[in-house]
Amino acid sequence: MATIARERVAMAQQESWELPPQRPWLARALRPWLENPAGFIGLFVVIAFVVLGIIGPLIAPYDPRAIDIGAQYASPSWEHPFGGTKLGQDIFSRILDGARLSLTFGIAVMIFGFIPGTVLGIASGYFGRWVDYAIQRSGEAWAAIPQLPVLFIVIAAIGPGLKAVVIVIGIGALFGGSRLLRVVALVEKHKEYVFAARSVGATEWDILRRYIVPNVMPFVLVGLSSVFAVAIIAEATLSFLGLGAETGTPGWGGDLASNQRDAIQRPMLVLWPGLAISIVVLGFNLLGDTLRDILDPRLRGSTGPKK
Amino acid sequence: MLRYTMRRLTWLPIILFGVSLIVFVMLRVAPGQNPAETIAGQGATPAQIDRLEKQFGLDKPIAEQYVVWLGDLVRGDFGDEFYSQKSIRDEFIRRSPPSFQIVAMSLAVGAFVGITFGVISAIFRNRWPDYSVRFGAVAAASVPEFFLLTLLIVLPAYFWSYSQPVGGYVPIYEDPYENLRLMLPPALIVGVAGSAGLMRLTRTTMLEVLRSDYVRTARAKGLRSRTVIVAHALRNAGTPIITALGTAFIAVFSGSVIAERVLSIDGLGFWFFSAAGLRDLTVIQFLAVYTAFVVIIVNLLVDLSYALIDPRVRYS
Amino acid sequence: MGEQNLGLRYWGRQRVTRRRVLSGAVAGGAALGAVALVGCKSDKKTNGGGDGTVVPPTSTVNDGYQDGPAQPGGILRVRQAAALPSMNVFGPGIFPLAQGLTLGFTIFDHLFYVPTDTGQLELFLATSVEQVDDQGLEIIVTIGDATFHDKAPVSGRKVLASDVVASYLRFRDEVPIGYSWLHDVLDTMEATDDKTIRIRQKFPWAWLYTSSNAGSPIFSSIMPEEILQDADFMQKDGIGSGHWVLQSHDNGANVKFRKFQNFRTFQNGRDIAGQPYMNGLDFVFITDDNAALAAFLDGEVDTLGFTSKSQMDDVISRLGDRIVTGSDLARDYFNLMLNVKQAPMFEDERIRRAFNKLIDRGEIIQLMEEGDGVKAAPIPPAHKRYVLPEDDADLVDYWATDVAEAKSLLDAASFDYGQEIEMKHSNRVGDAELALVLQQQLARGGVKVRLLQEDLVRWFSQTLNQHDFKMTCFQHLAYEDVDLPLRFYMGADTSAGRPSNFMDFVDADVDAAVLAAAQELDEEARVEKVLEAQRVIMRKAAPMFNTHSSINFAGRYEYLKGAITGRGSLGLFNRTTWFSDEQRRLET
Repeated sequence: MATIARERVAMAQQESWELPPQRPWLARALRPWLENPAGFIGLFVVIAFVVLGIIGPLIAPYDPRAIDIGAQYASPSWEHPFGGTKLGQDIFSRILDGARLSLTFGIAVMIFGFIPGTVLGIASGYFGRWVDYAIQRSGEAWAAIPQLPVLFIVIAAIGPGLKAVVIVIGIGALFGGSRLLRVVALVEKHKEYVFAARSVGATEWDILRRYIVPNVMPFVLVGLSSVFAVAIIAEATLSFLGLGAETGTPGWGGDLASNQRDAIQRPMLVLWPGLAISIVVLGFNLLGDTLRDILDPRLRGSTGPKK
Repeated sequence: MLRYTMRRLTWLPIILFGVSLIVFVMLRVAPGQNPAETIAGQGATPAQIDRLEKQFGLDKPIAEQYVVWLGDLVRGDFGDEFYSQKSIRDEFIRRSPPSFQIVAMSLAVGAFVGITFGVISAIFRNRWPDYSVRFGAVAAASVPEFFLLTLLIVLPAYFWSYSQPVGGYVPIYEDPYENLRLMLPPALIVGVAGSAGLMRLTRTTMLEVLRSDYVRTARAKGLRSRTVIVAHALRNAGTPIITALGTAFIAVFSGSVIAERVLSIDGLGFWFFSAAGLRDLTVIQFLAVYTAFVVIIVNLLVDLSYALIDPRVRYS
Repeated sequence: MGEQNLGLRYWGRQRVTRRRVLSGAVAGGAALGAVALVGCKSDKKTNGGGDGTVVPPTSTVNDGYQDGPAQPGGILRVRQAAALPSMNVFGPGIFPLAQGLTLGFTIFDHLFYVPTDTGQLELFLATSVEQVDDQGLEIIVTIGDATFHDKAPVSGRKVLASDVVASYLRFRDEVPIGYSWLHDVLDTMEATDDKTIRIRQKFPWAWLYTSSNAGSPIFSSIMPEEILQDADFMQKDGIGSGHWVLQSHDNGANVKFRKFQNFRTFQNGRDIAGQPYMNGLDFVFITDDNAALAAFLDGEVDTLGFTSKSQMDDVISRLGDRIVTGSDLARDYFNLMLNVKQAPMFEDERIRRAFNKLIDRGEIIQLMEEGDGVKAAPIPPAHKRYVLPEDDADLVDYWATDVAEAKSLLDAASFDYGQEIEMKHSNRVGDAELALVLQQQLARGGVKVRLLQEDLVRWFSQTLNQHDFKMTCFQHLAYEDVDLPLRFYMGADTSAGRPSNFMDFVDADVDAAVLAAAQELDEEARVEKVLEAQRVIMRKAAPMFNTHSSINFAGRYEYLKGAITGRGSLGLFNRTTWFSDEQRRLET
């Protein structure tokens, strides 16, 4: 019986997406991207970022913390593609290693904030009632508070460091994720195929597991893009202010802060880390926007990345 | 409307109470230092520390400390900074003008940029102005403010030996030129960065409104397209746009803190920042309650302005 | 010491012209209390060979040199890199360095001072200093005419001997510090009449009049007696009788001073009349170095300490002869400090020695100062008379970097390589950089270090002053004499309830050597004892390892004229007579 329902689901999906079934899989997958060059660029940047975040330290030509008299303020060259800092650290290696910090931080926020948030969101969207009410009201209240002051308060309580940032940005991601997924779950819940499945005797659990979750998954990606964008900026900002990563940790915000002292003589010192943050965050935002547009044209432009 | 406002306002003290309690307990329970020891400084004798603990009431249980602090707060006595022993109220009064100005200017810039470009984007839907604006919005949300503000100092100095003024704040009524020279560039940066959400929302709302029947009717009547857009479409798009203004305020609020830090503007944001680094508990407590207060009031104003702009909304 | 002698050499690298030296002094003013917490490379001073010693109470006078005719007027704008934590010179509680120096140089007057170049006692408010006995155990000081600033509740009344005594004693009660003249040497101090002060010491103290002792820019600040009694008042703005009246400030930022029209008439007619020449002094609050540089490039501040020679060269290429630049060896110095109480493993001399062996001072100087720095022994190199010869066996061993030896020392002490030692440091740029470099250098010997950055004020009041660190590194202030740099190694008598040194390090030999130097009244003999004390400190591997002093580079706009040079680091305090040609500035 469930098979019948699944077939109907597939049909329903195809209809609503208006995708010609005869096209090969690859073309179908690529078409939305080709129509959205910005999204394609975003995807490329994000993939590059994730790959560099994982293998960056392996391909970095130098230890990003190593000091070297010979490379002090080195100009860009084959040995030091982005030049060297005052302490003779290789900027290219530090930028690569900084990607890992940003990625790790984003993943931490994802694990501690966003993923629980999505579960909560789906649950509250699907089951509704007072759980839903409580989560959504708290989320609204949280969204109304500027995050930097909250970070300051938490830092005053537990001391500076990335722990504080993970807590605050994680809570934000928790509510952000739950809000996004709740809407999606709510929409899915009222779709025909769910009624159909229910009418053929599927349990609530079955429906949730087999239909709702797989169908909201793409939206999780949308939320993730936005969470990463916010997390990377937050980490960089706090490190820039000297309240984030510990001194000397290769990271884009912290490096920008420590390099700015020499920046009027050598603007490239701040441009490298600044551009790295900007490009990666831009990539995530473009990717998120495009994904959202593809998934649901009606949502187009309605919610955006929030700082 | 009045009753609605009153009802919302009765919530204000309750929320502030909650915020103050949470923050107070969080700051006191967290492992850190004894503030009295910090203040007593190098080699203070136990007697001196005891004296300071008494002076600040730190020897009492947390619950009692909280009640005393809250009582003082209600009576308008915000206490003293731990480190400088300066009256927090005096400091607040002194530091407010630059912060208010930078937030207000940034918000004005953000609202102007967001709404204008949002409308442009909607009108030229799927043509190059639309694409540029949409890309611009994403870019504005992607480039961190501290990077742009650093460039604001670095690049003019690098190219022209020109300095974006930093530090000294002159009230605008004393020297408008110097004031704007200091405040306008950061306000532009913070405002534009905070306008991204507003721009998107204006665009979406305008698109929906422009498709609506009454706009089509207005056009059919032969009204000029400017009249249609401003008088009919924008007015009806107002409600969602105001919501986004509330969101823009939050973005600008955080942005102004960074601007104050980078440009050495000794306002409320700088205070918050340095108090966090110093773990100056009294200042943090006060600023937390203050921030909550501002946020609640801004949200209330946003809700109330729905009714003003949209006659269909009635609060009772 | 005449003008010719002002042509000090910039540490053997280049000759410093008179013009350059002058600018050094100008930047010294920029330092102005900034020295401590402000974090700019600030105090410019000269490498005179003098020291503050007990000298016959004559008043030799050196009016310094003026670059251009004196033109009264103008307001000098200098950078202020950090807001003062409070305006109370007594704290609250924080060792009141920042505000003490800033206000001590400006709004407060002092009895006397010993400039580092001449080593001669110079009288300020005091008109005579008479040593009753050979040992200097009893001293009679008479003071001249001066009035306090015209602010309530003092309202311009005369400065009395009782004010002076009350100020010293209040500092003694209020500011508990390690072994010090005020607490440990001073016996009694009393006003015998309105103009006369009698000081009794418990034992002779060679550096009695210097800035680390009775001539301290902080502890000898003269304040009105009645406001000293009022604890609340001291938390408001100070009233003194110094050159400058505190006009306004934004909680310690953007401090503005205006000329005190009734500044004491100088004694003996030896001073240039009409001081201070400038109408005022404005601090411009600029936290970041690059913003400060931008402000200087655009003429928003009149003077600036550069971060490096290359930065100075870049600025010269932009501004040409509109500015005058100069350089000097800093009197302040960097160090790595270990606390033996927080990390008992540092009780083991072998481990301390190994840590020192891992420090590569040459590399530090290259990386932090782009090569423009000088290695430091326990006494920083600017105090030329007390600098050990470079071929001194102990010094050679102390400075020698030897990773292999360090490792064998650590092995011998069965050092736990698995642990990660926390090193706290402030967010001052130099401190953070040194921490990064030291982390890498220690890693070469297998020592793992975790860095923890703290806000400067918190680091200072909490970490350093509460001795709450295993390791820390920082830049010491520019001390005018060698007394304090030596005394930092003394494990003081803690029975008085006051702390020992920052390291909690007590060694009887070190203490004896330091005290022997401080109590030796004969100058030649004392120099020898200071050198010997340094050797003892190095042999014992006392856990404050000085790394280096930097060479400072500074610039000022050419419309700023006039300066007294060769008077140590304490620019304005030392009546530096500069002034700003305001008309020229406006035209520029």
